Amino acid sequence: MNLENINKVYYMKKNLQVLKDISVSFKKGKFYAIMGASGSGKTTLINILGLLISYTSGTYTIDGINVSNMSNNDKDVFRGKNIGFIFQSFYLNERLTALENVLIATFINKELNRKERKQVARNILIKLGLKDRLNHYPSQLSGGEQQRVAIARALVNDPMIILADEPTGNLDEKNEKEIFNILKEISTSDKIVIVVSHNPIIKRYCDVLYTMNKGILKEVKHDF
Amino acid sequence: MTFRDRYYLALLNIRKSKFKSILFVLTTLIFFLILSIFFTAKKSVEDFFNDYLNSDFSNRIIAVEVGENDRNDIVNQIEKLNNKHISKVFHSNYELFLQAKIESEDNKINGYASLYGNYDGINYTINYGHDIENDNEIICSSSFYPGNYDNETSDSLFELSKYLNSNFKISYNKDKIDIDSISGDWNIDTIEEYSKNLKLVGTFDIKEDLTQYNMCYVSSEMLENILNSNKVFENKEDEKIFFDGLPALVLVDKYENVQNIINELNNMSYNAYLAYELDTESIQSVFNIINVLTIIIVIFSLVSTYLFLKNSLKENKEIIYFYKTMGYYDKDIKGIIMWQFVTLLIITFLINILAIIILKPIVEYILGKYPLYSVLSIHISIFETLLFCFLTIIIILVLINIYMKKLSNKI
Ligand SMILES: Nc1ncnc2c1ncn2[C@@H]1O[C@H](COP(=O)(O)OP(=O)(O)OP(=O)(O)O)[C@@H](O)[C@H]1O
Ligand SMILES: [Mg+2]
Repeated sequence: MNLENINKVYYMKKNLQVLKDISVSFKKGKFYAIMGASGSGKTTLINILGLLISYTSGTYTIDGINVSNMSNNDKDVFRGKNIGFIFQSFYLNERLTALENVLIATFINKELNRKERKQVARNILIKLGLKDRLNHYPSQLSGGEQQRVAIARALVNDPMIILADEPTGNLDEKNEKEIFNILKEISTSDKIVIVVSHNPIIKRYCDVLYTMNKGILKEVKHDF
Repeated sequence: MTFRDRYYLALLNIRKSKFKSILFVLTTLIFFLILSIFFTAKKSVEDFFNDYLNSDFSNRIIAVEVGENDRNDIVNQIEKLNNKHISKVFHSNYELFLQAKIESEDNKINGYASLYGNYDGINYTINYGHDIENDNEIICSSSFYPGNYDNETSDSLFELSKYLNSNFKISYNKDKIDIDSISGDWNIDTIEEYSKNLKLVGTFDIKEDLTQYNMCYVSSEMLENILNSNKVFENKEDEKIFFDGLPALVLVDKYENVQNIINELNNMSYNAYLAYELDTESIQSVFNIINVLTIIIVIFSLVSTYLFLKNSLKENKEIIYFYKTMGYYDKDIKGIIMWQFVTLLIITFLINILAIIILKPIVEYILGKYPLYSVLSIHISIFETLLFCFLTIIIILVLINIYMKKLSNKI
């Protein structure tokens, strides 16, 4: 993923430039962390990376393909296949069980039949330690468990890119570490993991650390 | 996404929001039931009138004024037309039927019946036994008043099929008619009493044929023989006075051909008209009221359904967003939501049909208690309800498209 001079302006009464000339590349096999003050533009950047919103100017290419040449439909398909989202609020469907929440995401994968889909969804939940929670509804799960279901859903289609926006925002310290460990492990299997967090302990897990300050992204050299 | 995938997800949605689904089915069921009941009533009334026009052959009899002409000439000329829609030409209504006494061997039936000939244009639906094959056979309405039916109520109606294959004694008189040339007084003397034994070989359903009670059919040749010989006149002059003013009658094969034949006869400078004038105007005004009601009810139902569907669809917003974040194609989301509603509609439709099928005999039983309505059979109208079901599906499709567009613009 390659960004060159990306700007994002919200046109309002007073135009608000949220992102300023962002140029950055994200590579496979690495765990990226973005930290920064509230309102600095982190979520906006994640949304642009995830093709959820458009940018005002600049060039954004994924695997050499220019995003601005993609139709909305292309974006939907690309997003479904290649990007897994993990949000602070888990966006689980309250009416569906843990397994169903994950299963639903597999439907965009044409290569799997119904049986295989169920198998894949089960396996990933089991891998994330939810073997006994498959048929629980979100309301019957703890915050950490819910977030793990959300991660399972983000991973179930084996996406190339994982985008996480404050994935540990609602969790206690024990669960935070667990989630970061999972994300770390994912990045080692040749995937791009980009995580926005306020939590300083992320520094211990990430390969590359960025800070966002009033729309400007800077890499921070840090020791592990 | 395959159809099966979409359908699986649609069913999952239904299962996961049981309460809303049941509410949807119940609410649409109310519209469906109102419409089905109305359309069933409409169809029953319309079919009743249409059946009535065709079944009761008296609606297919044309009167042709004789005036000063010779009655035989007129009958001959009309017969010579060889119009295939003309089943039979009668000299007068004295040739149409015979009022006779009818008695069963056990004497439980001892009353009167009107005997008609089994001419080609006259059709009846036999419910027991078979049609007339010989001269000595008779078929009658299965509902029969055993005595003099002028004095009886529907409670005394008799089921004649019990008498199938038994003999009935039919009695009638041969009269001598003498008209006093000075005073004009008629003097009718019975000169002979005849009786014949006829075997009841079949009965017909009065409800199917919408005919009157105590009506029977016999072989037309036999009836003609009787009717041509049961009156003798003192002289030719008396005969002319007796029949004076009575029109000749033409029986037409189908109701739809009646008007053509009237026109044809009028073009031949006869004065021809429908013998038993039907009150078509009041039938037409009943139809008009029904049609206006139809339009009002359909518009009301469509608008209500539209508003209700719009609301139900809004409640799906959350799941639509959810699918979108999963990266589903818009057309897949549309398909899922559509099948979700279509499935519920099909369930509603089936419950609706079931309810109507259960209601039908109950309503018929109640109607059967009132002689006036007892001939009205309930004709279930599935077509209109099915059509409404399709219209509802189209509304759903339009709404889903509008709604998805709105959502896409927001994102
Ligand atoms: N749709 C929008 N229209 C106008 N302004 C917006 C919109 N979305 C975000 N903003 C503004 O852009 C700025 C950056 O928002 P963003 O959500 O990216 O911040 P953030 O760094 O994620 O903050 P936080 O850490 O609190 O989540 C904020 O000032 C916000 O008010
Ligand atoms: Mg944010």
